[in-house]
Amino acid sequence: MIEPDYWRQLDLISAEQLDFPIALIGAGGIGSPLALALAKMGCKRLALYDPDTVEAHNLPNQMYRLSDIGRPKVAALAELLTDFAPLQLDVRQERVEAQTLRGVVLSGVDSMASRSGIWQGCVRYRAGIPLYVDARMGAEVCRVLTVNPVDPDEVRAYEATLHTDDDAAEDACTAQAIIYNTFAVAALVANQVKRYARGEPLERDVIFDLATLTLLKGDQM
Amino acid sequence: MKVRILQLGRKVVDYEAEAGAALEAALAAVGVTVGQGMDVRVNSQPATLATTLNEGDVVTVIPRIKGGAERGPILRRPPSPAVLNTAENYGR
Repeated sequence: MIEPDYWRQLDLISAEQLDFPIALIGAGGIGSPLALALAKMGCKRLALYDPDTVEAHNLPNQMYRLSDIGRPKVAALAELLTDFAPLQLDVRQERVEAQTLRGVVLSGVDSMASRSGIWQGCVRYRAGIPLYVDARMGAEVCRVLTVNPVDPDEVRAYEATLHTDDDAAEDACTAQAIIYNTFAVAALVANQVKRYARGEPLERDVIFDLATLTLLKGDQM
Repeated sequence: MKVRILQLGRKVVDYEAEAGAALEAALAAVGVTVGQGMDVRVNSQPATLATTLNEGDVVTVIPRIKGGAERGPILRRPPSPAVLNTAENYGR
């Protein structure tokens, strides 16, 4: 079997360092480019969760092809991923609510209600999850929050960001997503995965804004 | 006095404000409206519209974003079978 040659990134991360389970919740604007980044980096074991099917309005800002319209997102994404890299995939067309998740959990869902449900139902104080990354985006802004879900201080800090959907800023329906922002947020999350894999310091809260080309982290906000 | 007003997702403006100006006046002068779902900070500290500005302050207006796999305007199709770990669904 032909294997990718990772030598150009060996001093950054090796595929062997990425051989741990990753659960990716959401295969949309955040999840689909993130999955491709993880596969290209050399991640070996990936579980994909998303209940939705590909629709025409997904094509401009998600990784799907014209021929994917009407297909389950997770099935279309799995096909793309297996074209790119050898992976062990666990593909589930389901909403994450109370499943038992294992390994690093990455979330790119579409509402604060979903985030709160995932956090309470599957992540908070779960010993089998060493790292949880919650990615959010709107228009040209993205935010990435990284939590050790069994650390009380980090739990407290993360929960302070779990506002309701009613308390969120409202983007116009026609100003919610653009492809280059999905690449930016995927890059920030994949970088956190690399940091975790190498035992490097993690950034607990990062905001990147392409409109003003500003990056804020932690206490800079 | 100079202050910098950074409205994430929109613009960044360096503004010459009057000494002792209130945050509300400075934001209005540069056309920044603090609407629903916005947090305002001055030099990384939470602020209100009544906060008094000082030389060199950095005002940041941060939207509370929530998106990801955004919902579309059209009705969704019913989901197909729950578990797709089949060779058929891997395509090749």
